[in-house]
Amino acid sequence: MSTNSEYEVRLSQFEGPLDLLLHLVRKAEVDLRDVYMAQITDQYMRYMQQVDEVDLDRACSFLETASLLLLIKSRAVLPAAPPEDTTDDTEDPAAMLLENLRLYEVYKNMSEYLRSKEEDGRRLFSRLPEEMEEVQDESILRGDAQTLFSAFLAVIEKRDRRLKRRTPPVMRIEADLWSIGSQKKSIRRILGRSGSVRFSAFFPDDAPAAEIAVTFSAMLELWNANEVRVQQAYPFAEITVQAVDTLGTSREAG
Amino acid sequence: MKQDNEGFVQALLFSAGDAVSISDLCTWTGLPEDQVARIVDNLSSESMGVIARRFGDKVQLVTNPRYGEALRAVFAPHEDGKLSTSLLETLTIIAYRQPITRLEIEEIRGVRCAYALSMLSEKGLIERTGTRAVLGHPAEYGTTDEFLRQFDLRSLSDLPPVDTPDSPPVLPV
Repeated sequence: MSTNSEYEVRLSQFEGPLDLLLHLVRKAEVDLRDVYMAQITDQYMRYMQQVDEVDLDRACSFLETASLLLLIKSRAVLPAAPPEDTTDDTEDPAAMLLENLRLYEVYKNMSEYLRSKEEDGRRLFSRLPEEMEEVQDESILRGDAQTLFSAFLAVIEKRDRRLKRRTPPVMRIEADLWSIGSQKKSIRRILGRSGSVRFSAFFPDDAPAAEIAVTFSAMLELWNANEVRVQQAYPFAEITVQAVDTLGTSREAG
Repeated sequence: MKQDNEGFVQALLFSAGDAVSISDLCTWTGLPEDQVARIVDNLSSESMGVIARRFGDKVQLVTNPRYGEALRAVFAPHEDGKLSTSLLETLTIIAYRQPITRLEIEEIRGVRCAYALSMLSEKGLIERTGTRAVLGHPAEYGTTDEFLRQFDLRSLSDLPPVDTPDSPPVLPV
């Protein structure tokens, strides 16, 4: 601080080159409409001594504007160029910088208004939302492919545990008796008898691996065709399988 | 039953806690929108400790701002959470000029804004509203209902008008 004690504000405290320029203009107590960019260039340049204190992104933008200011100043001190088409002032960097500065000033002022509104907003206290389950169809979680897969894994795991208990393990090669079509029919038949059936009930303990695999495939196909739906009363509960209404109107759509 | 509508709306707002859209209130109460709006206005009288505050098309039950200071003295909620100057400047420009691209914000502010944009998005104050149909299809940003809520604005038209040119000048480099 001591070396630059004449500056009350450090470069790092400015948002960017426009913020710094605005500060210099205000300090010079000139109206933005009357400011001569060349006048404040020297002051701006003095701040550039601190440019290594700001992050690279901002340093770049500070330096970019510094070079623009030097361009403006160099034009100002050179003898007037032959009058070009003076109506076109979009080419005049000083005019454009001023215009940009005015625009920035508008929003900077409005951000001070928003700061006060932020304070207003902080005067309002609200409750946190009550932790309530949305009312769901039969207050049951609707199953998705992941639910089905987890349930299938549970069936397999249970079966594995049971097989391991058998000593010695018996390997049997079963005849391939099952097709997806036949298993679909049997699932439909079971569901037709009792509307809602536990998932594991489709996989008898002594069913061979091939049957389990085919039955699961059939189940997936029925589910995919929206013929059955799976539900779970709560997370980790056993899932149940139900037939979708025979009218074909999927209750899921409701 | 008519008399009960006001109570029902209040109960719904209380239970929800969060901001609730007017159209949801219409659905839940079976009342037309103008009647719901009238009820919401009735629920924000100056004498109440808890009032219904509107922002955007949403309503939320909040404490009456007149007790803000007193409540803060009692409960001393966390004092942080105020936006930094750069976030606030960026937010202001977005609020006034939405939909706006990052480049346009940077032209006005004269500094890069990628960080400010990601922070404002994270806070739920701004969101991507689309892409500009120009080369590179840059994202356009706008403010959210959450912005209106946190700044106690009923709508964007609550912002004081400013006199600015339509497009910012592009500085020669």
